[in-house]
Amino acid sequence: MTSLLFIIMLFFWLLLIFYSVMTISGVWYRLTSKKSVAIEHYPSVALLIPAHNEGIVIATTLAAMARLEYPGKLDVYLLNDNSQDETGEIAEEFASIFSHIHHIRVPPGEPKGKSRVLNYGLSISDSEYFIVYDADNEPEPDALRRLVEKAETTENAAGAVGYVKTKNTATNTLTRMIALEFQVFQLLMQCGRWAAFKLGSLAGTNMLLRRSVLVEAGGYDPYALAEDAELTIRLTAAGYRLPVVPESRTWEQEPETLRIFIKQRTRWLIGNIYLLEKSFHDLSHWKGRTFILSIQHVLTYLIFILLLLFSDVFFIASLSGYTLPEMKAPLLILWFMSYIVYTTQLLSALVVDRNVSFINILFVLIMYFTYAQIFVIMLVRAFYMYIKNRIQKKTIAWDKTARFKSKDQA
Amino acid sequence: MRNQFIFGLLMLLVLLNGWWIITADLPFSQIDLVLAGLSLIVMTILSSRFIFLYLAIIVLGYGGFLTGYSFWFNYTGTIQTQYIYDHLLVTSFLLLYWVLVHQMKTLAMENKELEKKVAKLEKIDKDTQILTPDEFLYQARYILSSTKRHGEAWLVEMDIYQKGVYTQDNLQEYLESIVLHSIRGQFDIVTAAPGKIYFILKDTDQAGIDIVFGRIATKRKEVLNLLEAPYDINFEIFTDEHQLDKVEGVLA
Repeated sequence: MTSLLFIIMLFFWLLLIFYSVMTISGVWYRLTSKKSVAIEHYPSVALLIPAHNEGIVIATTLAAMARLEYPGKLDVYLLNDNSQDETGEIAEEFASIFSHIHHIRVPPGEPKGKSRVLNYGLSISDSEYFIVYDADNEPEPDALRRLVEKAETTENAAGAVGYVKTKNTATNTLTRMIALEFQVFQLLMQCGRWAAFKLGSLAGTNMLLRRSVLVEAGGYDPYALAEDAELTIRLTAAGYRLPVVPESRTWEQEPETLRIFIKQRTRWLIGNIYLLEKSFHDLSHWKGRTFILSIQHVLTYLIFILLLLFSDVFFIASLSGYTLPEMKAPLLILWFMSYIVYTTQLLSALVVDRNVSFINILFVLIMYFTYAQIFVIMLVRAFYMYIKNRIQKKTIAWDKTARFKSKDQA
Repeated sequence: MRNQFIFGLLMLLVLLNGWWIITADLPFSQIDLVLAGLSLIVMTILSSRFIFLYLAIIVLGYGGFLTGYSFWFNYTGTIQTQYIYDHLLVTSFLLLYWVLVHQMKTLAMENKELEKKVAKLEKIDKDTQILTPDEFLYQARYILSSTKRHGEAWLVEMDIYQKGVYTQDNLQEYLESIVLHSIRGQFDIVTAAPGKIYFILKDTDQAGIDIVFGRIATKRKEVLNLLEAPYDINFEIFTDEHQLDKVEGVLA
């Protein structure tokens, strides 16, 4: 038992040290990142928006797309995946007015999901680059231009990835915590990893890719539920880079209820479990820089949450009077310091994003005990669903995240 | 009202936390006190960019020290709990003070931003009644586009070379006033930067310019004792944006 405890603490601390190094690298990258420079020739870009019943948000999304300022040829494709609401009607109106906005009805097919729709979008367009935005996104006018400039000026770049900001942060406690989590993810996993290892990861939205690179990689995997993470691994394994551009920002809506949040994140976790399984079968995922991505994937989606579960068990056990085995390590203070490191990372993200406020700091202080714990439940749920579907030989269906009316619409 | 409440609350919490550090009977009470006191001074002096960095170093460093100490002496749960209290007292104190400093700096920055915006919105200098630099540049661009269709405009630079120790500002103000009263109020525009006065004469020719310069010379002789003009005048036809860029560089 003592050895087990020791191994757990060792892993826990290795992870915390790794994330602390990523935090420092991320802060360094943000402080020293140079402004993008204009390029001579701006290549053609196809902007793809997969949409299934997005009537609540699609008008504001297309309005933002119409405001994009891009010096080269830009075509916006609203890929309507069998919507039964007013999505088509809204897209049709935009397409009738703006020559560069197109409403495309995607033919029905299997398996359902974003990957298949994106593959269809790629088949009907012929630009040098393509960029993906989720249907609830509102990119800032210069977001695309900044990504293209970075992709064109970075050696061996497959494209570039930008930042995702939360537009409904102030709605409730949950959205505020999601926004904070996103800030940390982008500081540590995007900026930090890029600065330390020249590794970026596709975030599913506000991501630009060179068409030829995707064709070479074989397109999107239609069975991947976390298609962005899956593609990141393949592109990195092929030796490409994905530079991170914090100045390219898009604003998106996050789940406003716990039920929808758990549903969305369970899907992401299932997608990552699928990717883990794929990685264990594919040796190319464990070579060179891809090793860092894969090992971090295992640590984040498996080990870290399991460790969190262990720490909860010990915490509850000690509260209920159960005597923990004797070991030569100050467990209590180590656990306390984990909380301090976790909280310091969140605070760093607030400082770098210039988002420090009294209320945000209060949320940061309670996130370890609240928000982080939800992931334990979600991981258990995701594993259960994944294993169940594997045994029954079923394909796990794509599950669209429900949207919410903004305050103006309500 | 909201700011007042937050500031009040934060100050109260900082004081309470400080009092707690002073009165607490913990293993490292004296170190807690030194860290808190020292941090008050350092965080007040440091520039805002480094305050958080300092906070993070102290919080993590002190935590590392306490963890190492517990490891070294293999301390039990009770002593570890006391160390955690030690750390919590210092961390909460630093965090509260950091938020307080941050809130104050944010307020000061907002104030500065507002002042800048007001200055930009102001069209006329309240002392001399000439145009503010921003307004001058705005109107100059408008004049430039209109002269492309009809008439011509002249950009005049008055370079004040007379450098008095005590009279510099007054001399400049006099000259600004002289120029303002020598041009046509409804058509021409004027602004100034230290040591320079710029004006644009619209829809006129060489004869018109000579008349304006003549008026300036006459008025100068009325108010100044100087035999020679304390300035040089350069003028050219106002035809393109680059001329304005140069002026903008001086006015900035």
